[in-house]
Amino acid sequence: MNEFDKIGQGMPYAENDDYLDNLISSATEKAIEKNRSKGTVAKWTIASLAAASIALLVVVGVKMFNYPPTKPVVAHENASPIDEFLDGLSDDDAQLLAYYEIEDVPEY
Amino acid sequence: MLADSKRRDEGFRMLTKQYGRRLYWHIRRIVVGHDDAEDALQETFIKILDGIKSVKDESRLTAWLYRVATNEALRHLQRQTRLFQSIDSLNDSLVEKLEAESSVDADLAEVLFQKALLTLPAQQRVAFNLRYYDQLDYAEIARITGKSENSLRTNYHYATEKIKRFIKEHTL
Repeated sequence: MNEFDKIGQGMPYAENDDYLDNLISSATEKAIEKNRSKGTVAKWTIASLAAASIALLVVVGVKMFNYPPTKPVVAHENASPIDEFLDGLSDDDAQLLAYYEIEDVPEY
Repeated sequence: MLADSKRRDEGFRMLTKQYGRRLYWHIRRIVVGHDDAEDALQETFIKILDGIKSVKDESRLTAWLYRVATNEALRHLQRQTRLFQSIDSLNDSLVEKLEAESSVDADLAEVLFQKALLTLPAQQRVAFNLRYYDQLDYAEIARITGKSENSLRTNYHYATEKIKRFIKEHTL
């Protein structure tokens, strides 16, 4: 390493130690800030992904196991005679009944 | 201290205070321009803070820091090249940067020496700088560059001869 003794280890640039110390200090704080914000973004990303996964699982679970049941349970044994009559109507009769008006009742 | 996340920031400040200048000058010798060195140093610090937990053996900390800085500096140079162009093709533009950024009262011998260094391939220049300026031993340079100690010794010898020849040719 002594081959270039006359030249030494200086550099031909103007940047002095004070200037470099400020630059280093500023770069240090920026790195810390970036590291913190990266951590926050990572936490939010993980939380969002977890929430989305749970929501997806709930939707899939509901579809797969049909819970709560989408079709109402009809208690036939408790049906009233009127309900039984209405259930037994054909589509045409039901439509007729739906558009039935008081004026249609014949006078005797 | 750096392993403890609560005290990591404080430890990192201490680390950059201790190594900051050395890393800046190491990067500057590779990329030559100050603005490039500043950008590469910033990236180096970010990478160090991200990866410091992975350093288990404190005796290898210096080598690890230099390796991160070297990689960032070389990456910075690589971004300045065209597709399929090697970093070494940038040497002419680095000489221009050197001339533009040398201070007006710079020692001409130092400028000539830097020009001579820029005739070396980038990897050889990195190894030479680590030995000559940072005065690291070959074992440590081997850890930083991934080269064997023997090849580093041989390379240093060839680099020295080449630099001497360049200086001789360019000195009146």
